[in-house]
Amino acid sequence: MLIQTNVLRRFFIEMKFAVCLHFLLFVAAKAGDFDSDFDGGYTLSVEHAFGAGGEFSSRGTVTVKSVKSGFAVFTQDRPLNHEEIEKLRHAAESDGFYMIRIPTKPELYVSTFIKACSLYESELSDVIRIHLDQTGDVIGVSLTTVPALCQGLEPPDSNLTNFNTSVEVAQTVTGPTPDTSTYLQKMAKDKEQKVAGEQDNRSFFAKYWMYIVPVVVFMLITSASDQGSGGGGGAR
Amino acid sequence: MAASTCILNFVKCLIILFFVNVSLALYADQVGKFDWNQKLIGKVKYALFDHSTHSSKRIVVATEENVIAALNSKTGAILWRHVFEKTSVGIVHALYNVGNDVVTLTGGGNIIRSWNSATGVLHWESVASKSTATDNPQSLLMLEKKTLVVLTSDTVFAVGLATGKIKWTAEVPNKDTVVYKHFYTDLDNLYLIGTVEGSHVTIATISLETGKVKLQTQVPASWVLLSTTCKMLQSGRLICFEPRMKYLYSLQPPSGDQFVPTALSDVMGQLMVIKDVSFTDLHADSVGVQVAPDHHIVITVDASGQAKLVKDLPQVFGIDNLSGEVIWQKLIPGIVPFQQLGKETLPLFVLRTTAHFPHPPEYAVLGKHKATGNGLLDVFNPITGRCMTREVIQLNYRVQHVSQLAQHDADFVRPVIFVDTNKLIHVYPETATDVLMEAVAHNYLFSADADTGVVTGYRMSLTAEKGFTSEPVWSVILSKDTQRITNVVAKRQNEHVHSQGRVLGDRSVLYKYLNPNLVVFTTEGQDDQEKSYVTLYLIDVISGQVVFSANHQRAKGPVNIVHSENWVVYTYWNQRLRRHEVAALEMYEGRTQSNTTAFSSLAPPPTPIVERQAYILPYTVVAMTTTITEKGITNRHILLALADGGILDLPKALLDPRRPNTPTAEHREEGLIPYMPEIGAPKEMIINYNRSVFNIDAIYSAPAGLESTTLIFAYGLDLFCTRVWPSKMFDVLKDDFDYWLISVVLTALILSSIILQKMAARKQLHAAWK
Repeated sequence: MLIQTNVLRRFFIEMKFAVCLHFLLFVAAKAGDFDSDFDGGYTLSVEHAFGAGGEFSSRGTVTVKSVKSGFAVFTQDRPLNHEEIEKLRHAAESDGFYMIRIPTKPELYVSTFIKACSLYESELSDVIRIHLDQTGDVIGVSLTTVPALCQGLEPPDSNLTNFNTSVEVAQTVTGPTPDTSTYLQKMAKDKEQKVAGEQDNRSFFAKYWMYIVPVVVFMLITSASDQGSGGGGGAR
Repeated sequence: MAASTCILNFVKCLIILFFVNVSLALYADQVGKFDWNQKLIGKVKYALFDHSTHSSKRIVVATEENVIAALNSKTGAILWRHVFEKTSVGIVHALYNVGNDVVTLTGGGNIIRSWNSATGVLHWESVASKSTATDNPQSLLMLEKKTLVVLTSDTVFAVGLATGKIKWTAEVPNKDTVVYKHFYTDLDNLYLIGTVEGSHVTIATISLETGKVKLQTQVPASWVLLSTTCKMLQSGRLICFEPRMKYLYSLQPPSGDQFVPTALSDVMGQLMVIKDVSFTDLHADSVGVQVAPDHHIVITVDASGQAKLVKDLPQVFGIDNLSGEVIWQKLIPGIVPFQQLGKETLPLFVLRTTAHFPHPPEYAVLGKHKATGNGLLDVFNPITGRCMTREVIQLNYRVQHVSQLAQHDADFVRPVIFVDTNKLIHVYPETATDVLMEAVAHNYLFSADADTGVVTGYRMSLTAEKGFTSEPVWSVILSKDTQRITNVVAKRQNEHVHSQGRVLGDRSVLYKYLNPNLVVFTTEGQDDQEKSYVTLYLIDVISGQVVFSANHQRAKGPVNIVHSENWVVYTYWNQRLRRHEVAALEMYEGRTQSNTTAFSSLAPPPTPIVERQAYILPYTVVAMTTTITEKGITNRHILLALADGGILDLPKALLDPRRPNTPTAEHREEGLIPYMPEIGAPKEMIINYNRSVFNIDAIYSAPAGLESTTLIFAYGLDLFCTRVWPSKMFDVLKDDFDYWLISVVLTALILSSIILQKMAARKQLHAAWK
């Protein structure tokens, strides 16, 4: 199912608002019995082609249910027909590409490719990763299969009709900023500790035992030796 | 409590030790031993002979690099120099000789400064107004050089040249409709000549004493346009050139009330006179003053560690990297640089290094032809500068993309491939098609269009009818209404990563995400509320996967980026807090490594964990790079060229996003420095000590033959070349190594062992006879 360009354009204008409103509406729908048909998510159509330079045809739609949690699902239009399976097999055997693209703006697509053999050997189980920018516009798409490597397997046709696709949504994050507040808090805490350390209210002995003990020991030793020498003197 | 202070002290000690360790301060006798620098002035715009009483051996110049300098007229040596701001504020609009002083007009006509021509000391400075700067302010010396009158777009003012006091300021009459570009004076009055497009020329008479407008007259001139070039001759005659009908109009204000038209064919000789006016203003005898070479220079260092500099405007220089001496220089006729993301570039390729004797080394510079726009390739020997081909190679297509293959051909030349506007691929040398044939299957290209914001990846293929072509296989759209791609930074091709991971405090390993195909893109733009932002994208340029992206709200460029190993460091201006900041990103695969043998973008590891942290920079960074060594064992340092002329050598460990706020025992085990929001610039980390370098365009780093050493070359207005040892000289003997002692000890040991051996043998013999 190909969406007409002008419909698409309107759709994308609406899309921005949809992303912003999504969470508000979602909460509202939960709180009161809001019409749950409008869940704020949006859909993107996915097209694919077997072999580089091949014609693109519709593969299905990705419904992004929530941008923040990255929750999205893929719905296939229809199972792959015999002709398409043959194209995929041919592309896989000739070390060709399998390409997908998502229309974003009129006449503009984000697209990516993988080796056709990896899709073929993984029996159409893949992961579509959609990258959104900070306002929710699609900037890129990438595709990986599970497993990703080609080993020369030949899966039966019956396993090559339905995609087993999971969708990941990643969004541009806010860049790091210097964390001055935590540092200042830490400094304040250190200072407090220092001040607390200066106001030491331990007992006199507890504070200065390390000075007192050697003095005492020294005195004991000297007095003991005095006594010893005194005793010796007495004997003479 | 005691324990925590103890830890704090320990941490302080650690930090101090750390700085002591990296300190690169030199002893006084080491100045200039490892480095050289050259102070230059740029292309001369105004020049005058110093008329002051002390000496007449000086030439004072103002240049297009916003520099004023005094030069010794015999040797060309710079006696003193002042570098103004790089922006439009620093443009020198006029240069005058007044008594013992030199007067400059900068700041769009608003700042007048007087300098002592013997010492370069600022005598006085006068700021006329804070109004908007004018592109082309006019100025005139008057009243026996005692007053300077300046005309900007909206005001005219007079400055007394003895003290710099502003005598009077007047708004130009009808400034909304009339554009004033010229003025001249007689003994009492000042005449401003303004134009109203398609209508007339206005002459306003202003009193020289008070600045009051006395009279305004209009001379009809229906042909006059804003772009019409007019010139005021010294005789006070105004001459305008009308290009459509090729007429010269002349007027003798204030008495003349009509322009006198002359068909151009009649006055070719006179036109020459007009052209010469700019020279007469500069004194006709100073035309020959072209002292220092222009500044745009690119450097590469080949395997033997010999530096070659290539200048990006018509000339190419070979400079000795030990002394800075120019060994050779050459002109490539008709070559002009490419425009890339708003900057001029002239790509330079090392086709063959010096390591393949008897083949000579081979470098190539690619530019485009001034007239046709087609590619122009000059292949030369970097030792002599001589062209290796019979003449400069004229490519018969426009080059849209250029890149160099990693493989080399039978003659050890790494071929360069060019993609033309029809997406066809060409290769130099042409004989290297077999290398290209092998490379086709696993080489991909990408292009970024700064205007549309579309990044497209191409794969190369070989077709029977067209030969080598490229076709798009992925695309990423970074476009928004006001957003532009400002930087595209890939990793260095010759970079070696020694360690695949990082050992943590608990002895586990955090594996680095080492994707050789990762490229950093930055965009700058404005959001709906017209607040600027900077966004950084990490894109795998084989598959088109956006690996990570981060957005900085209320931030502005210029963004300086360093991209290496598994990390990215970038600086930007924080508009909200009005400060420069530096952010560090580090990408890790996690505790396990998905593919231990090789990295494949087509079977990528899971999305990496991106550690990130930002710091405040209390200085302005104009250029940034990282050290690079042969094997990648040595620690990495980051070199920052600062606006104040210093080059700061910062250990990467200070820009480690894993620096903890509250360090634990494990963090200390790992050797992490506790987080501090500001990164200072201690003086001992300024590697160019008192040899300040200004207006640096970029810093180039290259591995030296020794693993411990990186060669650094900073270029811009000035040049500075040095070497740095990020982990100190672990593979070099110290300067004060006692060769004598060690040789004496060694010889003594060897001798004594020989003698003792003989003695032992004799003793044994005696024992056997007994």
